[in-house]
Amino acid sequence: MIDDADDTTRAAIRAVADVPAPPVTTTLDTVIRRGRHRTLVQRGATVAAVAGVVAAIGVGGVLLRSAAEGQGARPAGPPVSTTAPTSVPTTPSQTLVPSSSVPATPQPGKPLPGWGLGPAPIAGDGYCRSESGASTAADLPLPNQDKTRDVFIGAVRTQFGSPPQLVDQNWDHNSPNMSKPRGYLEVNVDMGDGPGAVQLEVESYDGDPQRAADADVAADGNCARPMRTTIEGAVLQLYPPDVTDKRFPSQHLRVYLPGGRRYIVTTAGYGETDKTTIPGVGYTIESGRGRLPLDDAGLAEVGLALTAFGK
Amino acid sequence: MPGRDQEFAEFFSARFEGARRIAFAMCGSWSDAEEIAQNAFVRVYARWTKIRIETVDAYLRTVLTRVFLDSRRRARGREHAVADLPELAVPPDHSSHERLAMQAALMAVPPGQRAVLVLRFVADLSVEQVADALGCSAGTVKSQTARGLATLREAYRDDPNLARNA
Repeated sequence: MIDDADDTTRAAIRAVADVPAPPVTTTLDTVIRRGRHRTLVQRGATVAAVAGVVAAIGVGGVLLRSAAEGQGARPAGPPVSTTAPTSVPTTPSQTLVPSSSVPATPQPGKPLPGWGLGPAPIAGDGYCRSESGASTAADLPLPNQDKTRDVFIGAVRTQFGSPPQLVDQNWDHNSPNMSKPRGYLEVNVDMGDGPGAVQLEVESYDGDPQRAADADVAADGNCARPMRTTIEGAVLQLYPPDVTDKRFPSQHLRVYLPGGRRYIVTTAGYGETDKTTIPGVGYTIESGRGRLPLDDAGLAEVGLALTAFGK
Repeated sequence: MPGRDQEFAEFFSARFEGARRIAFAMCGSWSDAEEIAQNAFVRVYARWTKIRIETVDAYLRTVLTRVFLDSRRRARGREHAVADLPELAVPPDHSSHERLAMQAALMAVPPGQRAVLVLRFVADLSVEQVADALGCSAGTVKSQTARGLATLREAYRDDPNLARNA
C-alpha cells in the first residue's frame, strides 16, 4: 500500500485527517483576547529590555566616572562632544495614547470641525465591538484602477506638497482571501527621518452607509468612539490611532458611499525600507517612525477627495 | 488594512477548521489539535498588522508547524502514548481499521518527518512550499519525506490491524 509518494500513499495519508471531527471549541473572542494579551506582553518585554539596557549604560557611566575621579586622572583619548538628537518631523504628527493606558470607559477624541462622534463601541474582554457586528462585504465591481490611483495619489500629494512614491498596487477582481473584489494601493511619503505609508483599499459593502458605519464602529477593536460626518449621503468614519505597537502606529478612515462602495484609507508610521522579507511568507515590520504621517485633518481630506471621486 | 478584527474574523472562520485538521494529522489527538490551532491563530493575530494579506496562509502554516514541533519537544515523553491508538471523534467501524492503522503508523514517524509528510500529502503543498513553511531547503524536504515514508512503511507493515485486514 505504501510506495514512494504515489497517489495511493497520498490518499492513505490524507485519509488520516478525513474523519468526522468533534465540534470546534475555540471561539474568535478567545483568540483575539489571547492575541491582544500576547501583544501587550511582547511590548512589555521590549520596554523592559530597553529599560535594562539604559539602566546598565547609566550604571556603567557612573562607575567609570567614579573610577576616573578616584584616580584624579582624565580618561585617555580625545574629548567627546555630544549632540542632543533632534527630530524634525516634516509633517504633522499625532499625539498618541498607548493602548495600555486607555481608560476602561472609552473617551472620544476631539472632533474635527463639522464632524461629530459615531456610536460608542461596546466594551468587550480586551477589545470592543459594535452593537450589530461588522458590516458584510459585497460583490460590487471595482472602479477604474488608473482613475482611482490618480485621485488617491493626487489627494496624498496635496497633503505633503511632494509626490508620494507608489510602492504597491493590486486590483483583485476576486480576492483569494475575501472571495470578493478588492483593490489596493500603497504609497510611501517622506517623513524626514524615514518613510511613512498611506494605503487605500477599495471594497464594497451591503446595506446603507449609516448602518454599515454603525456596524463597523469598532472595526479595529477600538474602544474610543470614531469621528463621523455625512456628506450627501456618504458617511466618513475616522478611527482613533491604533498604537498596538508604538513604533509603527496606524490610523484608519472608512468612507461609505451610497452605492455600496467602501474605501478604507490607512496611514502608517512605516514604509518599504522598514520591512524585512521572510522568503515564502511575506515580510515583517521591524522599525518605524513612532508617529503618523498625516493628522486627523489630513486623513479626512484624503477621504473627502475619494468621496467626491466616487460619486 | 481594513478593520483588523473584521479581517481577522473572516480569516479565522475560513481557515480554523482546516488548520485544526492539519494539526490533528500531525498529532493524532483532537484536543491537542485544537490547542495547537488555537495557539497558531493567537500568534497570527498578534502579528496580523505586519503580515501581508496575500501570504497569510503561508505564515499560518509556518506558525502551525512550529507550534506542533514545539509542543512535541516539550512533551517528548508523551509521544509514544498516542502512537498506539489515536483519539477518536467517533467509534471505529470495520472500514476505519485501515485508516486507524495508517494513523498509528504515522504517529510512529518522528515529529519533524511527520510534519513534512502531513504538509506534503494532507495540506497538499509542493516541496518548495513545505521548505518555506519549515525554513529549510527543498533538498531537506525531499530527504525528510523519503525517511518519513520509510518509517511509515515499516510501522504500517508491523501493525496488527493491517495484518488482520490483509
